[in-house]
Amino acid sequence: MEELLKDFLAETSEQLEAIGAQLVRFEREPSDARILANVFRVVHAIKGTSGFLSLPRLERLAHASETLIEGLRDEASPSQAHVSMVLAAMDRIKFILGEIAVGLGEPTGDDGALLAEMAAFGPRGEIKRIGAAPEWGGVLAEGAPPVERRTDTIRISVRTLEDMTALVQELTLARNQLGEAAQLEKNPALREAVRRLSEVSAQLRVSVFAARMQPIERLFANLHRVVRDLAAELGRKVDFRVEGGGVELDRELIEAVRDPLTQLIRNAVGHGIESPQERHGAGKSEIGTIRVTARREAADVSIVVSDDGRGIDADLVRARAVAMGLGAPERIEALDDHEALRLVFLPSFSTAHHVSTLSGRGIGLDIVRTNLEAVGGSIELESRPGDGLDVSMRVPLTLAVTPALVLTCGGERYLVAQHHVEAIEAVGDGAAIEAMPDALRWRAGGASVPAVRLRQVLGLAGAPKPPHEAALRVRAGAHRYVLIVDDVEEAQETVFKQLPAGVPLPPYFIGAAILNDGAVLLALDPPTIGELAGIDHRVSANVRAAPSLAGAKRAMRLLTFRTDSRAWRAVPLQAVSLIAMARSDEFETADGFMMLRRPGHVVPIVDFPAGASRAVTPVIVLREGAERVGLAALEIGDVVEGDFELEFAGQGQGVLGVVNLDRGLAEIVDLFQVMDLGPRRTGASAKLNGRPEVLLLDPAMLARETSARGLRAMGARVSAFADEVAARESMANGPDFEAILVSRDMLESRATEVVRALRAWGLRRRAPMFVLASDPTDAMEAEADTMGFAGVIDRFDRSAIHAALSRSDARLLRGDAA
Amino acid sequence: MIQALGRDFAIPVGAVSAVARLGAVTRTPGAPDFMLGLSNVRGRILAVLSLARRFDPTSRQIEGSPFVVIVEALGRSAALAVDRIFTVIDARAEDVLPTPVQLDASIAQFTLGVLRRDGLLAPIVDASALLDYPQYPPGGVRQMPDAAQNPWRSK
Repeated sequence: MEELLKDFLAETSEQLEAIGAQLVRFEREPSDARILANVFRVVHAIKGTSGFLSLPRLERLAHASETLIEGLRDEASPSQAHVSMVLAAMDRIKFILGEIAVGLGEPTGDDGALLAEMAAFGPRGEIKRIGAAPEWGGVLAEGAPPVERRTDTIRISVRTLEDMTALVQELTLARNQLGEAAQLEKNPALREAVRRLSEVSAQLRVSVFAARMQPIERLFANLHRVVRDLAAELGRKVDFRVEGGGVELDRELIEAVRDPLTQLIRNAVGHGIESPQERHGAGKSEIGTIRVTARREAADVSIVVSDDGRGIDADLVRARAVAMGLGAPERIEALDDHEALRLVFLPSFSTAHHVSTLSGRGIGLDIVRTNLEAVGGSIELESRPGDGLDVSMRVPLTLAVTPALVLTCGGERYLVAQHHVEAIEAVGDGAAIEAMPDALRWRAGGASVPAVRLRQVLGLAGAPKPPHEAALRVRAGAHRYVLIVDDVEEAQETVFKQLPAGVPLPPYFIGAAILNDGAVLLALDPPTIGELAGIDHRVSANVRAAPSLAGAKRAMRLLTFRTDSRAWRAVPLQAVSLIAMARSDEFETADGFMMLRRPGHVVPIVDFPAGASRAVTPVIVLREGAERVGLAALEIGDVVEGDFELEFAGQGQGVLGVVNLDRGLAEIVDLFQVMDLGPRRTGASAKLNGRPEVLLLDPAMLARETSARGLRAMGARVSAFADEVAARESMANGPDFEAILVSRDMLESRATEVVRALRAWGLRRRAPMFVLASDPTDAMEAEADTMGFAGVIDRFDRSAIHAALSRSDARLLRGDAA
Repeated sequence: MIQALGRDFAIPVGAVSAVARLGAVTRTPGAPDFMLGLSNVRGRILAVLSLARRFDPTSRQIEGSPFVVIVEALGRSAALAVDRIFTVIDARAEDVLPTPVQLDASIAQFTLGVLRRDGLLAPIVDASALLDYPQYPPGGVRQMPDAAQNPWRSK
């Protein structure tokens, strides 16, 4: 394409954008004649040059536009329709310019209809020629190409700039290679030359990157138009202001921000600003304000879109998230307002959002976030419900480096931005992967979070697995999970680039980067991976996550398994520490026991299915306090949840009873008896002094049975009931209890009732009350204290129960019961 | 003039921005079969496509040339891996013929016409057709991708 044409296209498209903004301003302030003069001048130049370059369609349109604009000038108060007409003409011109730019030449087409419409607006009678009217000012050269007004700048094609950038980066790589080689040579002249080269290439790099900086203003030009059109369409009144157009930003980043910014503006007009009536009703001015402020902050540029509309109500967001099944209700309710707002960035949230034409066109908030993060940026929301919303976008000043981690999976390397990673852990060392049939979980330090195998996401399940895997604790939006990879190699600062246009890659890749050694690595997007893997806390919300005693469920969770082909067995999930997939060489015999070798310790196996000499044996490791005992199984079944009734009480041999599951009957393992089958190191079977009377309240039958048996084995006399109501009836003439154990499950929203009832019976006065729970936390302890309980005990830890009851013994003996 | 799948093809010079040596290619799981991966070409990250596989997705032939042809169309760029690259030739208008109906459909869809040279007919490749592949399935992916579900995997 000829140089002249290229120049013309570039200059004109920029000017058309600016005109659009000016026309919108003119509509509001029709007294400012200079605006129209400006607009006229540009259109006149277009007319001249298109004649010169033989572009008849453009010429005709430009000519008609001139007339139209003059008509605007003559009108006392220009109508919105008139201005819209001019804007429509500009659009048509833009369209034609676009077609020419792609090399398709001036498109054949008929503007007759548009021209006729435009003619209806034009002034009647003679068209005044320019130059005669003094207020237009200046003499315009007809038929000459537009004159470059600024003389200290030069226009350069984007291609050339891109090439320069790429070459500078190649130069840096080559310099690095040369530098490394020069280190090995003992040639001072060579070293000096390399040093000089480094200096020069560094300066060149700085210069080239400086050349890429452009004022952010070009982003803003189009927005006025967007706001005006949308506000008109929806019947809103909006005052739109921009600030900070002079802030400079790398051109690639400006382009990356363009679509997100436009979408945010559309959201502000469409969802944020209320209708004039609504605003009036709320005591606000009928005209809503949307402000875009750009500011340079250290190494970033922040662009904030503020409106004084209705804002986003965190409660509504939570409610919608629950309704859409984005996660376990209690987990969602537990999010604080700030985290709850971030839910709007979830892909599923955006797509099910309003199905109006407003958000149907354009991109969803999740893509806004993705696009920003792909270039190392970020986005935050701050809402003032009823008062407005601030959306802050942050982008690095230049293609700044993002600290990233290089990890390997399936023989390939990948990148993850460090700001997503909270911690790196090794599999083993007290942390382990639990393979539940419906999901993976990561258990460490008593807590359990969802886990995802990167292999599975990438479809590389077939590749050989390394002996040790690494786990990354990932934070992605409001979710936390663990990503399991082969290894974490190193940390590097890289420049994340968006994937080249049109590359058809799955959405869990957010971009790519060139490492110092020249290799191209794909960058992973943890939020999308979490979304794909269904990380939504539907799988057993960790008890530790609920900060208060209330909110725990009544139902029990059981892990089912088989040790022979005959029957299913089950064990309370809360007692399971982990499931280890053990190879045959990880077993050994010692002290007459089969042992499973784990990192740092061994676990005695108390049950081994006959004839099981397979490659991998699942071992269910049960825990009691610090003790571990393993049950080797043939097969691990599902985790089932429900309020199970024991059908028949067992007669020892490690069986508590039988429950009825959908698939048939399952034997419930008597946890404490099984623990006792192992070689114990602590005195968990110690007996209690005397034979204390203990009241046990627990609505879950299985748990109640297990605890009762354990207590009885310790020598206590146990009266066990489902709740205080059931207990009351039988306890009319009950014994004096020396301790009262209440299951945590009972206390959900009934704590005060329970305590009141117990107190009313006069029991409380004499006997300390304890809460039985799994995985007790300090938070639980504190809450129990406020309710008047003496403490929280791990329900499956007999030594803890023993200790608590012994203390209470002592207290009674000393006579200082409260 | 280039060669792939054992035959000759031609690419209009207007669509070619450069010919460059191909370095390491990073594999891209989940991408279409005709995409060999991503590579660093003169400082730019480009998708590397196999011309042979673009025509025939089941082809497993390894490209012979250490060079790639960088083509641009539809606002996209890509590096084409081919078997051999010959020189640029000037084609006379009369040597360019319309695509014959006998030409294999899988190739014809990417062809602008044929070039007659030395008694042979070389299909002229349409760069914009080559680079016109859809993005990853729209509407998002809601479950873990696996081989059976990946629409890009050839059956």
